[in-house]
Amino acid sequence: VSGKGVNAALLMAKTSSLFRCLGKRISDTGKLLYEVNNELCETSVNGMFVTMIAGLYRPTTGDIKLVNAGNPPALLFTEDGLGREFEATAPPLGVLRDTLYTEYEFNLHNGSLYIYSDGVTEGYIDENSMLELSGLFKLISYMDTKQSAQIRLKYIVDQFTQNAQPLRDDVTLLLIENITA
Amino acid sequence: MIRLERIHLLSRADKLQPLRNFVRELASQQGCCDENLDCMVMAINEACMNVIQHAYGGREDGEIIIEFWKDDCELLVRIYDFAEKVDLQAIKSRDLDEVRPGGLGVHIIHQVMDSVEYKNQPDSVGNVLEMRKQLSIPVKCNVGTSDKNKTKNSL
Repeated sequence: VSGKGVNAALLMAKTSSLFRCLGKRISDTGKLLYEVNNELCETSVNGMFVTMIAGLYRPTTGDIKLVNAGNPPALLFTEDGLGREFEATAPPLGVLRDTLYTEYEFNLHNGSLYIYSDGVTEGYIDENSMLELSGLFKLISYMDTKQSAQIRLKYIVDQFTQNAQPLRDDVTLLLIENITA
Repeated sequence: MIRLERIHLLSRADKLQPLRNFVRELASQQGCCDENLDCMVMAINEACMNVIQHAYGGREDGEIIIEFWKDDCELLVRIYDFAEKVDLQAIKSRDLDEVRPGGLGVHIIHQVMDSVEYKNQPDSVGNVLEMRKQLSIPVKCNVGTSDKNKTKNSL
């Protein structure tokens, strides 16, 4: 969500409520974000917006449908070490009414899907350098996938929290894997 | 133009096999004719092998980013590296009359692709190779092979 403070928190609460409520009857994620976006455009304060990645994951098949509304790209790290980006196909929610959100469709196979806020890639790993997507990709490339997801996520976050640089943004980092693989 | 994919890989030869598989599937999905499929895979493979060997000098911790764009029937491939800027004038194929293995990557890339352009990245370290190919027009010169298993890391 853009900004900080009470206004931002209220907008986030409204967005998550809309998402949960409308999501119970709209299973198409592109259509779901279309409806959430229009609701936010009608009622939100000008200039405020929310970035979101929404999707459906079927653990039994590994199929994923994913929509990215203005968020940094999701990163699928494949079993054989390629990093595939799923960039935003539309602006954030609350910016432009009747925006269409295109779905990505792919299979997770034995890969790892990382979804994160800009606080991750814009986290400072030293005085002058942000982690950036390239840094995140390299970190993931060298991690031992036999380690638990929790340890790997903590390792990434430690890169920009365990140094002298103060955190400048909130951090969200999500990892989706097929744990039965 | 529409960006189809943006992928990252480390500058390691063992990442070229998954890259070849990925390019083959993507080009096939985008309507690349059978005659071009192996040639396209080989050209992109050669371009990345050159990055690994010559730009990164065999360093395995470099990063390569490949973008695939499409406009009607034309595929645009951009290969980015973040190594030291290379002397663009020095990129050329060797004498083909010299019979020995290796060193034919640049020749193959030029034979397969409709246009090839090497650039230095303007705002940072690194280089960009930009290649274009009409997917439906077969490669004129027979540099490829119909057997995908014959595609090698370095020719």
